[in-house]
Amino acid sequence: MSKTIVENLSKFFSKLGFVYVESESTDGKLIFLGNGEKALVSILNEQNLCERNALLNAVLEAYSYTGKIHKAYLAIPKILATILDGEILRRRGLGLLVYTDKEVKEVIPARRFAIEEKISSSEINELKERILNLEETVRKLSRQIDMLTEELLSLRRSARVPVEAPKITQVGIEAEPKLPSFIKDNPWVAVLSKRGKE
Amino acid sequence: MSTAYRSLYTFGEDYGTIDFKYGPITLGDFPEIVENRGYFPDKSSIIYKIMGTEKDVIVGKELPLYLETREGLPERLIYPMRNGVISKSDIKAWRVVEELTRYALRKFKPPKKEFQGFYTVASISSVSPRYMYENIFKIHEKLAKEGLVKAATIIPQPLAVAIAHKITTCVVLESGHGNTQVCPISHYPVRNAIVAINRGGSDANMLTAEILKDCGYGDLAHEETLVRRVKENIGLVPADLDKAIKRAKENKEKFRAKYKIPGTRIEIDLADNSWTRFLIGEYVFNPTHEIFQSYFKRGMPKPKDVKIGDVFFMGMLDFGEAVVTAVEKCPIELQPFLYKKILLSGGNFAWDCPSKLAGVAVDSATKMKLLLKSRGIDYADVIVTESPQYSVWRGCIVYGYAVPEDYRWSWDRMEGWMFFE
Repeated sequence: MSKTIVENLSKFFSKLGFVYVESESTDGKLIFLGNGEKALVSILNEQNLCERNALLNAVLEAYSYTGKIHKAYLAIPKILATILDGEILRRRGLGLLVYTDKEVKEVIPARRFAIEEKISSSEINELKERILNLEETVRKLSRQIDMLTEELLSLRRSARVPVEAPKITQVGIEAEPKLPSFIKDNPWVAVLSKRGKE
Repeated sequence: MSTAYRSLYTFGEDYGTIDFKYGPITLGDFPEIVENRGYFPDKSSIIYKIMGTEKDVIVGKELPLYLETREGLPERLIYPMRNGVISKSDIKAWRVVEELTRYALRKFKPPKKEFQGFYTVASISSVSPRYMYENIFKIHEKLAKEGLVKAATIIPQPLAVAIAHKITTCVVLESGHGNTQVCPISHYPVRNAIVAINRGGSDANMLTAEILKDCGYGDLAHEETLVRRVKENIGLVPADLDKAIKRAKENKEKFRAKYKIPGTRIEIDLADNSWTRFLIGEYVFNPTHEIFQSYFKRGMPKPKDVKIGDVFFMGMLDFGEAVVTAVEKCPIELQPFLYKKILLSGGNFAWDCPSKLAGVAVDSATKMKLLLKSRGIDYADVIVTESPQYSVWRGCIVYGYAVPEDYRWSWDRMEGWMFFE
């Protein structure tokens, strides 16, 4: 890969706010980052294009990166620009850059693609846990609603039944003692007090 | 008599398999507890003569003072409710029940002139045959003549549990030493939907004993109290038995089962066989896994289908299938409400779930949910009862306080007050 080509492409992209990321680049495929986007440039030279189907392969390979990068370009020497039908690239959203020793020109702009976000297994586990917590919360709320509904129905039923005045027995019973906590607010007291009256 | 009288003199009687819980409403939140057993002393013995009593059966906290040699214990020391149901012809067991009830009521009989007897509410297994109800009423009729009882009633233990937990529509699983009862409740027990299982804590004890023998602790495997303690301390309930065994075999140190018997130098260590701790919990919930076949082939008794009185007890039914069977005997409109509240009651559901083994070992509520989910019921809300020791007694107290005295006993309904005039 010619150093000049890499430099020229870097200059071109830096004007657009992109930075060359050498660590992610390979021979013939350059990565640029900028403006929250990732761009790939697949470079062909005159030698590449001597191989049969080289151009077709380059187009297909650049297209295969869509989904992994935001923009994909093909960069070819200016002298070979006329042999390429740009419409195919345009339809697929691929950009075309034409280069010389001195400059790089964007002939067809690249369309912006959405990147498929990879979710890690720890993120999936976190999501699963949150779903479980939500389900548990829903169950608890459902329980509370059922309890409240029962209490409400119970209160409505008791409201219909005439309340007897408490009988005072002949023997002197002192004021009603404090009842255990499990009797308080127990819906069964209302249910059981109607035994034989239903 | 009025609610005011019953607010002082309602008396609960929970005849549990190991303990008898008793006491009046005025005790508050906790009953008195004494072992549900009686001792028939040798009247020719010196100890009997020294104690200066004329009783033919001893009950209560003073019982240990009368115990003589160990040889005579099996015949003389009687646990009447060991299996939840007393045989009709077991005269000694019925004597113990009578004497325990008398002991309990006398303990709380007030000296007040206005006292005319307690309103007693006894609670027994939901699968008790009719003669048990008849005999318990006869005992209370006798005690009424001694001024201890005004009226008596008997309720099934699952109903008492539901009452204590303030839930009017639910399924209660009551699992004790000898058996397990699955009882749908909807303001009343749905009696024709009760499912009885001939499997309880004692079966898990037997499996634990076999595991101890396999691990070289054959001499300790014969001591029932010790075996029960080992079960309680090392037994675990697996979310999935096959996966739990695999994990335990792969991480032997993490899953190692060790238990030091308090007050001794003896330490149980299952070592490489620690994976067997998951068999103990699984067996309680579901004994149908093929791994248990090897134990049955070696002579461990397989839980059998038996008929006691009018009730069929299934031996090998897993708890998930038991709940579904019981619920599907109820009206269709009621079924979703029953699945929504499932109460697990009894010592057989008190399983540990160490946090470091979470996900592999689970608690009883989670296991029950998994069993139900495997049968297409994924919205069940399962709760292990709080204070299982006191639930039944508390339910008895609420029942006695709330049910009006003009609701008289009916052998059709199996509810109501029985008065002894």
